[in-house]
Amino acid sequence: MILFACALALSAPSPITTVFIASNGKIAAGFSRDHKLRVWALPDNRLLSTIDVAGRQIATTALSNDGRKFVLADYNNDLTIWDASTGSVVWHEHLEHYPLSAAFSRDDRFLGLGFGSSFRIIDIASHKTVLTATDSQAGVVGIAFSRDGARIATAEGNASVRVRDAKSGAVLAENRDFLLEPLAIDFSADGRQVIAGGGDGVLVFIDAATGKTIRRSSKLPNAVFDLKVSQDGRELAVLTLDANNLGAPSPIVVLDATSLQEMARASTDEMLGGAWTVDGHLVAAKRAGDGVQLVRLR
Amino acid sequence: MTIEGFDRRELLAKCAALGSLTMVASLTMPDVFAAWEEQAKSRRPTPWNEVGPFYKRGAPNNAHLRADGDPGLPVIVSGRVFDTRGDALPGATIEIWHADHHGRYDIDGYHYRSSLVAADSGKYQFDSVMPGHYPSRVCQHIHYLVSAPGHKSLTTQLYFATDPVFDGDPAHNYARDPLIQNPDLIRPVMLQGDPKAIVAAVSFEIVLERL
Repeated sequence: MILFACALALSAPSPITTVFIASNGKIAAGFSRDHKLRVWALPDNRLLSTIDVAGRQIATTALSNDGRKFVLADYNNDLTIWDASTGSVVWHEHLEHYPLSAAFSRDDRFLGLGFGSSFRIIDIASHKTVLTATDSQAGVVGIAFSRDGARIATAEGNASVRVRDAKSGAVLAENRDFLLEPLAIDFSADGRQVIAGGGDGVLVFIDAATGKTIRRSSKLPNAVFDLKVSQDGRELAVLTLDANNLGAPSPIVVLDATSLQEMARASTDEMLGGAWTVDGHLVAAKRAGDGVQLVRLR
Repeated sequence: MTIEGFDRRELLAKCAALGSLTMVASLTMPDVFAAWEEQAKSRRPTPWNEVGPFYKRGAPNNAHLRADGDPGLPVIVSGRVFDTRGDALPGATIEIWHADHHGRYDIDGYHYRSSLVAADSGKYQFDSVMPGHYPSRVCQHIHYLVSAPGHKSLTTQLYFATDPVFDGDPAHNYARDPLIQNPDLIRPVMLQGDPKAIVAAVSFEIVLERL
């Protein structure tokens, strides 16, 4: 199955600044300069909804894997979850603090939120908090769910990674081999490893059961700000940025997950977002005038 | 202040004003005075601010971060570390890091990074340079990660009232930086020393919550 075989164009009345692509490849969402979030169905580019986010100073965002839910938290500590296809608000909560990170579980049943000294897991259907852990020393700056939903990995602000039981929150393993705080984190496809990277540009592969470092990559061109494992687990897409000039063009690197050989490279120049889709492709949104073009990088 | 300085009525009034008493009928004067002293000494916890990015483990214990020739306004930051009961926390670890005058973090080394230990009185001090602005943040700031046994670790950031972003009125304009949720983190800056060698002095007290 190939979700879309050729480049798709998305347009809006105002320049698009950031794009989210659902991993099912059927939904794209994009912020524009007119303070709107627009949601399109792919591949026919049908506009599904337009959500007004004017006045929201955005701290954290997430699009569910099926593209049905969009989460936004702002610096006023307000959290909103929308039905992406209709634009209706399904949940709103005023938090004590804004979250530093957000991620959906693979089955989209749960939303993980990382805060300054804790993290929460919210059941999306009931909006109830099903787990709260308050033992983060310096904040949860990244969250990833294992594909079976049984475990959560957190990138911690004190330069460590923790693996927890997703139901009880108990810490199963911890790794403190980082010099700089990891900013990006994901599980391998089989859930046996956690991969994390941060300001020093090095990926650390961690045994998810013991917390021990298995291996490290060589230094990437810049700091690691995001990383995602492909659907089949064979490749890693790594977003790097210049730590001291986040707006400068920087490489997006695709590595073979086993050999760590570089398989592809693109530039963040004009790139507004991207994702691995379930059909195994790496899709990126590239600026094209005021709109974007969705192109396949892998 | 001693008990002898108050009569019972006066002391009860002070305690009530502080909210430190809920039932007074059977309290002795020493009890009432102890409650007042405890409340007067207590401190609000320092507000949280997010950690990063670019916290780096293993910073050296170095209170002199400004090297000769470093560009930027020299700054001396000092304060004491307390808990919410007002007790000093000697031995507390105070990790600080910040950008240089040009707004650049030292990712590869430890320039402008330090791990200090609070002295017997809870005091800490370091000298450095005023951090510069950089595009992804609005205000100049110094990052802190403070920890002490038996207390919740704290990440926070110190901001400067002299930052031009505030237009001279940080109390009203602090929200210009969306990360500043509490203006208590914006500290006054005193300029000291010879006009040819001005140093900016900032005081920043840290208060940790007990576990």
